[in-house]
Amino acid sequence: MIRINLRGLTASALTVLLSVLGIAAIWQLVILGFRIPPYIVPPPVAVAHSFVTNWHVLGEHMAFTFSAAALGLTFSTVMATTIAVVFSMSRNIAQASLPMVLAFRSTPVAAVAPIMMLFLGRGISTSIAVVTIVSFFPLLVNLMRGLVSGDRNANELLHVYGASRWQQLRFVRIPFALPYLFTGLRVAGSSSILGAMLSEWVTGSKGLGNLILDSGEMRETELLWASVLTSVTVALCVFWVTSAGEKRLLRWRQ
Amino acid sequence: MSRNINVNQISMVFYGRGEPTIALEKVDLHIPAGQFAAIIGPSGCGKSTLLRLVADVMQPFAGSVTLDGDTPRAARLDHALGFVFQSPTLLPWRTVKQNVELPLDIVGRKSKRRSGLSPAELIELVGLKGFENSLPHELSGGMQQRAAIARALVLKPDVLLLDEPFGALDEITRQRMNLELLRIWAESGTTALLVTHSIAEAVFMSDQVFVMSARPGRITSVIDIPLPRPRQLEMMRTPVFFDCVNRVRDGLFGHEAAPAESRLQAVEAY
Amino acid sequence: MRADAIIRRVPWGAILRPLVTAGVVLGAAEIAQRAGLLPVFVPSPSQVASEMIANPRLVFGNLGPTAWKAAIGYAIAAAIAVSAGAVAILIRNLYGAVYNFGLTLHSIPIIATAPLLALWLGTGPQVQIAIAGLASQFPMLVGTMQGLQAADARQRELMHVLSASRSQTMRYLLIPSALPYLFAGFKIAAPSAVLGAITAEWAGADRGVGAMMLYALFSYDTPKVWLSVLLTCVLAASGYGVWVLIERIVVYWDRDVQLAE
Repeated sequence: MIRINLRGLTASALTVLLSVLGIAAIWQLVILGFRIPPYIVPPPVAVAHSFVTNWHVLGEHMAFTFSAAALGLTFSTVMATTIAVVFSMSRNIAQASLPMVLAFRSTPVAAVAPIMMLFLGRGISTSIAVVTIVSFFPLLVNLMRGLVSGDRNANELLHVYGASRWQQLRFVRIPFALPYLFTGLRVAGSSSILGAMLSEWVTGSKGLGNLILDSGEMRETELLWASVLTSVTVALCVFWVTSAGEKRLLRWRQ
Repeated sequence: MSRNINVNQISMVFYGRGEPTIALEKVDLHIPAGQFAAIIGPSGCGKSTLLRLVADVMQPFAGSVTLDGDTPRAARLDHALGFVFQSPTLLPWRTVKQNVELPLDIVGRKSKRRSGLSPAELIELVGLKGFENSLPHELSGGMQQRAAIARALVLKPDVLLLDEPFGALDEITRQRMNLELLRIWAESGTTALLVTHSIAEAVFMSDQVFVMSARPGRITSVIDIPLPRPRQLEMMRTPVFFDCVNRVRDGLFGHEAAPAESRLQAVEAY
Repeated sequence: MRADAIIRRVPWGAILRPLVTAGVVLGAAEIAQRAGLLPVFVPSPSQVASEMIANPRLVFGNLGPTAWKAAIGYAIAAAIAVSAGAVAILIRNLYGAVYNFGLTLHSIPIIATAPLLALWLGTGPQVQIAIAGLASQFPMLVGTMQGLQAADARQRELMHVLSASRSQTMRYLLIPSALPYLFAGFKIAAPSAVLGAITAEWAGADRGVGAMMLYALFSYDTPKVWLSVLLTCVLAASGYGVWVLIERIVVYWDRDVQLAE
C-alpha cells in the first residue's frame, strides 16, 4: 500500500515555495542590478501577471502537450512490457529481434518527427507516436534488466517448487521488475514532454511547444517566459513523480 | 656504481579519519653497497611504506634515510634510483623500447648517466629481444614486468628498489623470474632492496633478509644468508637454505620451537 | 605511423558489414515499393535517390549551411569545454562548479533555449550555432575532466620517481592517458551538435536541413521529407564516423573507455 507521508510532503512543498520565491527575488535583483531591459528578461512580477492573464491559454496548450506525452508513454510502456516479457521467456526471440530493437536506440526526434507527420498528419497523434518511439528503447532496456535480474535464488526456489514459467513471472519476476520500470519511466518521462513539444514545432499543432514559438515570434516576452517556465515545471514534476515512485519501490526491494 | 642504504630510526605516521596510525616505529636498516637485501613481513607491516621512504615518494615522520650519505631526494634528483612496482606500470601507448627509453626522455641529454647498457642491450638482457616494438597489452604479465625492470635499469641506478614485483605471477614463472632478476642484478652491480611476502623468494635472492612485524611496523630480526653466488635452484634443497627459511619463519611467527615430526614433514615438502 | 600500419588500423570489417546490411535492406525496400506493399508515405530508395540527384542545389544548399553551423558551434563548444575542463582539474576548488555548470547547461532543453536565444540574438545563423554548441558541450567537458584524471596512482608515482617536471608529467603521462576519454567525448558530441542545429532550425531558419524538412512537410512533398531525414542521419553519422576513424589512428593502444555520465 502506498502511504503518503503528510508531514514530509508539506515540508517539501514549503521548500519548493521558498525556493521559487528565492529565485524570483534573485531574478528581480539581477534585472535591477544589470539594468536588463524588460524585452530581454521581463521581471518576475510581469511574468506572474502573464501567467494569471493567460492561464486558460497556458492550461489548454499544456493539456495538449501533457496528454500527448502521457498517451505516448502509456503506449510505449504497454509495448515495452509485452516485448520485455516475451524476450525474457524466450532467448531465441530476443536474439533474433536484437537488431530491430537496436534500431530504436537513440532515435533522434529530428528524424522521427517528420516521418510520423507524413504518416499521421498534423494533429496530436504525431506527437503521441513520436513520444512512443523515442521512449520505447529506455523503457525496454530497463524492463529487460528488471525481468532478467530478478533474484536468482528466488527464481530457483520457485522452480524447485515446481512453479510454472507464468507463476515465476507473476510471483518473482514482475515484482522485481517494477522498480526498474520506474527507472525507465524516470529516464523517458521528462524527455517525453520535451519530445512532444519538439514534435509540435514540426507539425504546427497545438501545445506548449508552439505557444513558446509563437509568443517568441510575436515578441510577447512575458508570455514566452511564462510558457517556458510552465514547460520546465511540468517536465520537473514528471521527473519528480517518477523518481519518487522509483525510490519508493526500490526501498521495498533492498 | 652502487650506494649503501642506511635507514636510521625511521618512524612513519599516517593521519586518517580516526586515530593516527603508526606505520613504522624506529626502523633501522643497513645495507652495504652492491648487496641484495629483502624485506619480508605480513600485510600492513609497512614494508611498502619503507620502500617508498627510501625512494623519496614519502617523507618520514622522524628519522632519516641516507644513500651513500645523500638524502633520498638528492639521490632521486640525481637519477640514482630505479623503482619496479607491483604492477608493471608500463605506459600503454609506448612500445617496449619506448617504455625502456622513458627515463632517458625525461632526463634528457644533459645527464651523466647515459653510460651503461643501451635500451636495446637492456631489452636483450631481460630476455625480451624481438619484442622491442610490441605494445604492453600484447605481452604477458611476466614479460611486462621484465620490461619494467629494464626501464628501472636504463639510467644505471645506484639503488634498485622492487615492490613485490612478482606477486602477480604464478609460482613457476616467479621462480624463473627470480633467477632472471639475479642474473640481471649481477650484471648491473647495483644495490637492490626487494620487498616480498614469499619466504622462499626472500631467502633465495638476498644476502640479508629483514623480517618485519605489523602494527606498528618494526624490524624483528635480520637474517644473513650464507649461500654462495651465483645462486642456483638446487640450493633450495640444501640444509643451509632450509635453515635460513626456518629462521625467517621464526622471525615472522615468533620463536616457537618446532617439534621434530613437523620438521621432517617440512623437509619432505621441499 | 607508416601508411600500411594505418591501413591495417582502419576497421574495414566494421565499415563493410553495416554497409552490406544497409544495401540488403534498401534493396528489399525497393522491391516492396515497386510491388505496392509499402504505405503511400514511404517512398522507395530509388525515388529518394532520384530526388537527391535531381536537386543537387537543394541538397548542398541546405546540407552546407547546417554542416557549417553545427561545425562552428561544435568547435567553439570544444574549445570552451576542453579549457574549462583543464581549469577544473588544475584548480581543485572549481571542479564541482564547472561540472555542475556544464550539467545545468546540458539539462536546459532546446525548447527553452532556442526561442530565448532567438529573442536575444535576433534571426540568423547565430542562434543555431549557439544551440549546436550548447547541445554538444557536455560530453566534451566530461571527457576532458575524466581524461585528465585517468592516469592511475602507480603511473604518477613512476613520474615522481623519475623526477619528471610538471610539464613533463603532462606531456608524457597525463595527456596521452587522457586521449581515449577526449575522443569518446568528441565522438558523442558530434551528432548532438548536428541534431541541435537542425532542431534549432525548426524554430526559425530559412536555410538548412531543418528548414528544408519543414518546407517539405508543409508542401506534402514526401520524397523530400525522407531526403531531409536521410541527410540528417548522414550528417550526424559522419560527424561520429570521422571521430571514430581519427580515434582508431591516434589511439592505437588497446583502450575501450566508457564515459561516466
